Amino acid sequence: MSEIVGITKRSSEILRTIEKIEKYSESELEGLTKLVGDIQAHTILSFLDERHGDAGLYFLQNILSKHVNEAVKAKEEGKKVILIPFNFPPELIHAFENAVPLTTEMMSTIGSLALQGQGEPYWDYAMSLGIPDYVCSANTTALGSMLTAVKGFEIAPDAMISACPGACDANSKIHEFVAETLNVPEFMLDKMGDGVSDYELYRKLFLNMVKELEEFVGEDIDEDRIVKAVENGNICTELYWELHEFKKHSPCPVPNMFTLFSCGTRFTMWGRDEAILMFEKLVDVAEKRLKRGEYPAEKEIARSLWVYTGYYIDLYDLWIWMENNGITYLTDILNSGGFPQIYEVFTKEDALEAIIRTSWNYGMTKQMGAENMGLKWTEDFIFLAEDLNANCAIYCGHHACKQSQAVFRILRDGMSSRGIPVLRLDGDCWNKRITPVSVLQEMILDFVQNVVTKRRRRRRR
Amino acid sequence: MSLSKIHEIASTLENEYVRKWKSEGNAVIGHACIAMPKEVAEAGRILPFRLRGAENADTSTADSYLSRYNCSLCRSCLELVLNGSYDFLDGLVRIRGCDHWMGTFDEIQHAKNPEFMHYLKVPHLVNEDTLDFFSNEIKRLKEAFENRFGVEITEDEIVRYAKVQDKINKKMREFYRLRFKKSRFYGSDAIAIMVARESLPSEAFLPLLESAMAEKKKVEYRAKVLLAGSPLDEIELIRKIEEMGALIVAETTCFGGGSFWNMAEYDGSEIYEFLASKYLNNLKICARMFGEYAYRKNFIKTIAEEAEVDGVILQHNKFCDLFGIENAKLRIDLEREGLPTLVLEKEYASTADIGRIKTRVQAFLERLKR
Repeated sequence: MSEIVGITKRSSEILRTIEKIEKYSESELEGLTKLVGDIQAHTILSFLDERHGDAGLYFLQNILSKHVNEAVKAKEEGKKVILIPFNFPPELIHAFENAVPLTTEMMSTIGSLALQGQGEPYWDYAMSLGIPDYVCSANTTALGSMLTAVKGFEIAPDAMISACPGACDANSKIHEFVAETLNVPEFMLDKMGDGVSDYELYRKLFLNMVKELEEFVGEDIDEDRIVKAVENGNICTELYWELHEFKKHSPCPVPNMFTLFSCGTRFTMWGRDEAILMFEKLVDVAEKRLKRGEYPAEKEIARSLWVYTGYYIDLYDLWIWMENNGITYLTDILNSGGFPQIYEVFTKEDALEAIIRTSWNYGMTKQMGAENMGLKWTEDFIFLAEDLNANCAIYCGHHACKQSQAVFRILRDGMSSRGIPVLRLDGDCWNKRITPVSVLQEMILDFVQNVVTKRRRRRRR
Repeated sequence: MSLSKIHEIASTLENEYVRKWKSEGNAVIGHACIAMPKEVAEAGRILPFRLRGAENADTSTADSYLSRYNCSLCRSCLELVLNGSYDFLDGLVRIRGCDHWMGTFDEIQHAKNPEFMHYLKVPHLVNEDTLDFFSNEIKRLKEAFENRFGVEITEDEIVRYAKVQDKINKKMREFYRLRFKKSRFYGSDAIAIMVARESLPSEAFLPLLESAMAEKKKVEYRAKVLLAGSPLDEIELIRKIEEMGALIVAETTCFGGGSFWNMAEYDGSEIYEFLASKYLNNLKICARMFGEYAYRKNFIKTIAEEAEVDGVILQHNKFCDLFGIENAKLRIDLEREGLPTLVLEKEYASTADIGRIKTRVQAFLERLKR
């Protein structure tokens, strides 16, 4: 058994320290980066980069830190901590008074960005149990950490939700492994396809799950709380689409990392006042940058659509680096795959229906849970490419994504037929040992300079 | 004699029975999962033929569709579809057996666009709602067959074929029990029998099985082993393992006991409800079914006890998330409960893998002190 403390416990302390940061000068920031390791320094520099205004610090303090520390506090107070995957709406759990959500993939991301050794010790621990090395690091990292709860090194979830059966085997299976090992109940959904009867089954399973959760938490969800959660979500949705509109400008006034802030908020604090404030800040910064014509590079060379996820192993050397080189990161499946909608709700029943519809349409669930994964994925990303005027697409090539890997050819053929070249990378989004950042940079730059730029020139002629 | 006939059938795709079936004007549809309700197809004179890799290790064309990170069994099957080996099929029924299979069917549609490809939606959970859903799905499958092939599928005929399946399942259990104590058969024979079952009309398979069961072989071994894990139709691989002295006396895989051991017998109830319950409950033996880990573990333990095995081989193909993760958990739990296990990760039909597999089996036998 690993003796290393789990991600939640370790990051809780770090994030509490970050909560104390108020105003800082450039030299103070520089000093801070010298106190920590390379990765943490890059994480701090990327979040607090001046192009983000105060959005980066707000995200760290009011989204990430609250998400983690509310779970830690809930444990102390005897409330239930419900571990959810990224493709489950956290607003349902926020509607409970005595339960808080903790999002698996966010914990892996925090591990990868904020901790010495990144998520590797937890990954290694999972491997030591015999789990194969081709499973998904997005969840195995956090779940490897959760397994250390057996020895008290991590806070153990009280229950788990699995929303991936029918959309991702790797995610569903590793959650099952941990639920079985920790002996905690697991509540499950199942997506069959895109039809009316498929939705009806999903809806029934979801409503049953809500009943079971209410029993488990020992509380009926309060109508006012759940209606408020959905209404807050509606405000965020409006702001989300406002931000999306800003992305249509070239050069793009929305910084690359806003995609991360946006989906990070979606996966953790959606339905809360903090999420609204977060999105207001994102829109505000984008608006100001548009007015000022700010863009870090001389010109915007590539408007890239990331068709699955981004890389979370070094934000500074990828997200910030891309932007500094004129490569815009428009969005990805995590951020845009679900296309959030507004729901008018008055009662608890309305609110539940809205949340079910949201969950059904979530990024990845929608595409990879479709009757034809390849076609749905392609359809959604052709729409986005055209809507955002993307001139290229990049696939992270995460080796664990067997579903997207299986149908990449369909996506590439579809995008290529619309004149959008697609770069297929090969790397692990949460584990730098698979492909180092420098190699990813090289491949992205090669693609942009030799494919995207040349096509632009040809089009101009 | 029948056993050699069975091995001959298992070594080909379009066998003589399939050719005869087609020459009589009947259709053959391909599928890839034991959740496929055979009775419904056969009641419409449609032969359900289970896709398999037929030990084909060349996946060069398939790899340009699927990726190297996808299961080699799926890539092998896709290769056979792309190179025309499955052209005798009149259509396909796709099932989300796993993400790899789902992608494989997407790619088949992309590359070949078959005229008939029906999606049979099989839930990953077993409860009242999913059983009701699956019952409707089976009705939808029946209608799709009727519309496509111009046949009428009556409930009486489905019941008749359900009873035929019951007979075969009963006979298969008898066959397995023959193997448990003092086996007259090798595991490679059993896999060949299972492969033949998935490739023949039921009425042709039953007499072959009965006649094969009457045969006697001298079987030598060092240890009795149960084979569990992902779908496995590689007769040659089993032969190599058995040459080391590890006699496979039972399989809980879906090309083995998993496909029939727990299958319910027709009880006279409404046929679609019965079929939904029969097939979905039986599918609990597959790692794709969530919330059923304990069921699978107990299934392995029950068979292991009845067959008095010395150990268990938990195998899966590389990149198989479902069984890769499941086998890690099973290994921990079965070992804890005193059942020696070997986790064997492999590439489908890869001869390059044989040396490594032999070494691991040898080491396992030594561990079993055999």
